[in-house]
Amino acid sequence: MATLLILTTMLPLIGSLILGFSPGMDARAARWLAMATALATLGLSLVLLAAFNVGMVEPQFTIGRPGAYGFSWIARPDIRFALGLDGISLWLYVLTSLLMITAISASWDSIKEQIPRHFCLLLALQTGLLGLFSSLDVVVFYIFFEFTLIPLFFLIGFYGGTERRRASVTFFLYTLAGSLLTLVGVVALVVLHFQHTGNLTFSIPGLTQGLAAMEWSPWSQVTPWHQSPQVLIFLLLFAGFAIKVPLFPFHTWLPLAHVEAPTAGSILLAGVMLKVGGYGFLRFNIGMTPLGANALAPFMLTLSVIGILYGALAALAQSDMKRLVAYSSVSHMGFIALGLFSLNGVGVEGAVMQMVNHGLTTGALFACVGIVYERYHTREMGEMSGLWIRSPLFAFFLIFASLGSAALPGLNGFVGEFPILIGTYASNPMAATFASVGMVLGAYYLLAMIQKVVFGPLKEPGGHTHGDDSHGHSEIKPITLIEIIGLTPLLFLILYIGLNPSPFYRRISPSVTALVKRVDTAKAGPPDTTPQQTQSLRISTDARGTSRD
Amino acid sequence: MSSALINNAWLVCVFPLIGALVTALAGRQLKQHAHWPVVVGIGVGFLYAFTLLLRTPEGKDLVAFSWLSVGDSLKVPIELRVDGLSTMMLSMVTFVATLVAIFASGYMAGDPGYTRFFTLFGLFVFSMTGLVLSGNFLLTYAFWEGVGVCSYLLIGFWHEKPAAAAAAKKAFLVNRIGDVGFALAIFWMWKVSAGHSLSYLSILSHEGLAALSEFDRTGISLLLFWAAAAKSAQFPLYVWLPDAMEGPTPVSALIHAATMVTAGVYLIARSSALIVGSPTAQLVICVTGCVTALLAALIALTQTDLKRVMAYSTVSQLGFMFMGLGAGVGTVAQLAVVAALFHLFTHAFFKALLFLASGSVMHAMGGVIDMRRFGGLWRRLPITCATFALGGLALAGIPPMAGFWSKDEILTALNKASSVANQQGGPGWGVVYGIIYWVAILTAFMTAFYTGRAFFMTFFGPEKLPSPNDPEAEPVDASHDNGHGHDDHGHAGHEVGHESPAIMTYPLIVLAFCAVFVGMIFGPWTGWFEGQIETMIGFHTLNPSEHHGGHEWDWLSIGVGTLAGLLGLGLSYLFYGQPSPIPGRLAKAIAPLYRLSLDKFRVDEFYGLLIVKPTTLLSKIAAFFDTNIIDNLVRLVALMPRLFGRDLLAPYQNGLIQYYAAVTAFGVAGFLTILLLF
Repeated sequence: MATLLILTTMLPLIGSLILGFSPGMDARAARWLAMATALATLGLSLVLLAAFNVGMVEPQFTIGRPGAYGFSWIARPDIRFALGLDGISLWLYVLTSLLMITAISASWDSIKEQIPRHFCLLLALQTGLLGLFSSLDVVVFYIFFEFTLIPLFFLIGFYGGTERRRASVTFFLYTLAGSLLTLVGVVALVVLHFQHTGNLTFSIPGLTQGLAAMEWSPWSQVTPWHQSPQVLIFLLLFAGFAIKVPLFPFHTWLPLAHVEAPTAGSILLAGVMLKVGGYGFLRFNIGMTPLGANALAPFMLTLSVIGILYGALAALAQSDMKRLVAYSSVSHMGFIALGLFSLNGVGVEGAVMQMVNHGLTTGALFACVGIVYERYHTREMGEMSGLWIRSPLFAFFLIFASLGSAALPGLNGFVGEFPILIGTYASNPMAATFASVGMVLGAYYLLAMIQKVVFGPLKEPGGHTHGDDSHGHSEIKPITLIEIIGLTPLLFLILYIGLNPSPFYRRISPSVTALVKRVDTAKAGPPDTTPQQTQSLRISTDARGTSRD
Repeated sequence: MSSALINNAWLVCVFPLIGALVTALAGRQLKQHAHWPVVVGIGVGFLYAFTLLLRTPEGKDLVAFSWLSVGDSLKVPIELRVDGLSTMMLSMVTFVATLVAIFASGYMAGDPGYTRFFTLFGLFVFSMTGLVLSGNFLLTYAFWEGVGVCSYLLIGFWHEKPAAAAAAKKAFLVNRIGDVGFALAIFWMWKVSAGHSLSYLSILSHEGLAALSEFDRTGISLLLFWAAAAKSAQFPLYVWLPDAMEGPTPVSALIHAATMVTAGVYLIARSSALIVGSPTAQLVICVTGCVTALLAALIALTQTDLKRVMAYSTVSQLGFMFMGLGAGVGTVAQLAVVAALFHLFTHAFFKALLFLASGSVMHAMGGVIDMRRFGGLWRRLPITCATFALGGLALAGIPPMAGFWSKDEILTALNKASSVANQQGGPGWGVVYGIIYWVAILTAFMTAFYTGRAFFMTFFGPEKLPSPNDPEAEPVDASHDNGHGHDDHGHAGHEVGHESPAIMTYPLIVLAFCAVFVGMIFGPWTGWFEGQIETMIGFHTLNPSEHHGGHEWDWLSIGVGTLAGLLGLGLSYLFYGQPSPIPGRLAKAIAPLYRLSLDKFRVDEFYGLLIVKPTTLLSKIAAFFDTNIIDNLVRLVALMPRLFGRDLLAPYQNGLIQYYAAVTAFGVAGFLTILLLF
């Protein structure tokens, strides 16, 4: 199984290389090769999913033993190429494989030039994302993390809209600047761990455990006049991930990148790339600097709530469908960050689930926007109305995806958002109450979009208005089969997860529970060593107690 | 046998769902028979529910597989509660729904969206039955939003019509505002309840309630009421309901009169064991109900759109139900809850009847519903006229019609509350309840008046039919189907002014029968209804009244209530029974008030000014802030390296050897000076 994981992760790269080295390939062949690769990757991912051992905390499908996963890549220092999946990464891994199908079908007809190169970049991006979610070594993680920037940079730069240059450069520099700070944070963690344990490891599970057990009192103790160095490192790690999520106010690259990116790029960007931020928060910020997370939780919750409300309000003011969906991502990712920094088991599990849910609904919404753009070459909602009359099927897709996104019970958004809010309420009622207002605003901008685009008398961009029937515009093609194929699995999952989320939560739960427990242990401080405590020790524990309140 | 019957109560929900799915999948093949699976599904559901009702089950909880299980503390199973309250609601919902579905199969005939209509109809009945059968707060919440979304799609059924699209959005958003209250109530309950349970059985039990502080009870009750106020269209969240009349008339009858809008009343009644623990919350509920009932009745007095009169009347009657629920202080508790639920029950029949009869009028008038454009229709629409009259008498609360019994119970409860409230809340509370009692009687008078007005304007006076070139009427030559911008379309060539077909009049007759008899059969006379409600969770924790055995008749309320109804009807006959100058003169005499009522007290404009405009403004500000301020700040940061490198340091690298030499010389000089000085 370990080999299978490596194979699955690398398979898209193989397809990508073939496409990259044959730029003259026939368009049909290129499409089908890409689709076949993506389907094979999805198939293998599903095999991994089936083989996943429910109830296990540790990463699975690994080579080697705990402590030294994978095989040695660089001997000194001991950097190991180690892959594995646990409950946190499993679903994001499968989601990446699934959204790739949607991304390829969205670019099936819409990309008309340099087709092999487009699919080459998409597949390369997929390997980057799969590798990132499955890597168990910080160096390997960081390499994949930065690697994903390159194909996306070129996807936007080559295949984007009119302002694609500015968008791709902004996107690249912004995320790079953040991730360099994150690198400093990661290095600091490795070095501190080495200094205090004498063990130089780059393994993610190793570091997580090692740092928690490290015997260095400033690290694990918080008193009113001393904050743990975890807080500083938390902020370094935060820089890169907050930009990726993106948290308010680090989000301005996102609407620009989305508007300019081709549909496939948007699907992967919003569907998966943003989750890298949430994933990083969970693995590094919460996993490795739990005291930092605890100390800064109010700050993080505040940023999340601002992001939820501000993103929703900004979405409401947009007239471009794609910008609207882009800002809705800012709002929804705010919910995810909220759940993560509730530091409450229910909230964090909800957040992990919601990362998958948001990938599905946003992927579907961007695919719908792509369907419109492909036909009318505009996304201005003022120029269209009544598309229901043109295509009831499209209306169904858009309404269904929007309702999923608006967290309607019975659809997937609800089973993620509700635990997030209830978990947050348990730890910080004020934050949950303000975030709940986002429920109304979320429905507001989505329904406003539906009202403008699918309701009302038929009006299609291009001048003609039709009061009554669908005469004219016969050149507008109906929804194609490949578009239906790209959307159907997403819509099915939106419904299925909403009705039966247990199979998902069962796999997420053990790993998250272990992580949250670590935060609780860190908060409680190191165990008191001797029964006879000295006077000074007792004072310090008292002080810790009050600082927690 | 009986336990198998109860254990499979979920079938009541599932039959309509199957019907909806069959219609959705096979609608294209079924064509004009697409309504059959839904009608049969709901009908079978009714038979099942009615069988359950006759058995009067002791309360029982059915717990099926876990739906949402997150972490170690959030565990929500699919949990159903079968007791007198839920079986009563189930029977009522499925019964009315069956009749409305039959009516709709005639009313909607020929509509291009026929299949979609019945699919959504079936889904709605599924959600509504799920809502009343659910055994925990989260599942109720899920179905609560489910009925909301069905209502959204049905109000916007004629999607080409901009007014329908706007009304649908408004309904969903106002309901969402209520949903936030419900969600917060659930968060709160989950946090404080023993074992993080959300089940009715554990929260509303004696021990569950004892675990809550007074503050918890008041907070949760008020949040639940916030949710109920949105769903059941209470002040100030009622604004969506009149607009919802943009949907097809059967939808208005079923969802926006008989069933969905009563969900709020149901929720508060269901949680009454919790609510009575907080007299403050009860007073808030009672006052809100009173204000709503009065305000909506005042608006209904002047509306000329027949459906809108009925819509405001629904808002007003829902206010009555909340008045009843709020009156449950002290020893009145049991009586008040039964009264409110009984009014919910009877109202469903006669209000569905009145809406369907209005639909029948609209059908005959070719889509016109403005009462000023037609009149004297009794000769042309005899069945519609007769059934409307019976429904109207019930709404006006004239004995022995259904509405009389339930309205009287609410008045009785209010009257008693005014005498016991002082001990519960404090001095002065009794006076407040006393005022509410008299306002309720005034409202009953107005109810009778506007009901009579609607009836006489429509069916009495000289015969008048809308002219064919009426702006609201559908064009007779429906050569292309832009007719479906209007209600009651698709009857191309259908001549104006004839009684509706049998498929539409039979449901009217059945409902009229109910409007006359359900009060006598189930009411306080037989005590049957109260016996049903007794098996509700927590009913016995409510303070029972001192009086035992048989119903206690409050003759003051009976007398005054009946008098108010008769006076209202009589006055309306005087004004509208035949052409009369009085209404016009009266409207002139109190012109400002008249305008205010006609403009619906400008609550919509108030909302526009206070909520919608600021939100829009805020969103514009956010968008502006985003593109012009944050983005520029980011660019400023990005500019720093360039500024620093190019504009600050680069000029020194100008390649002039003299310049470099000069700088070197100055540097050495400066260095030496420093050395010499220090």
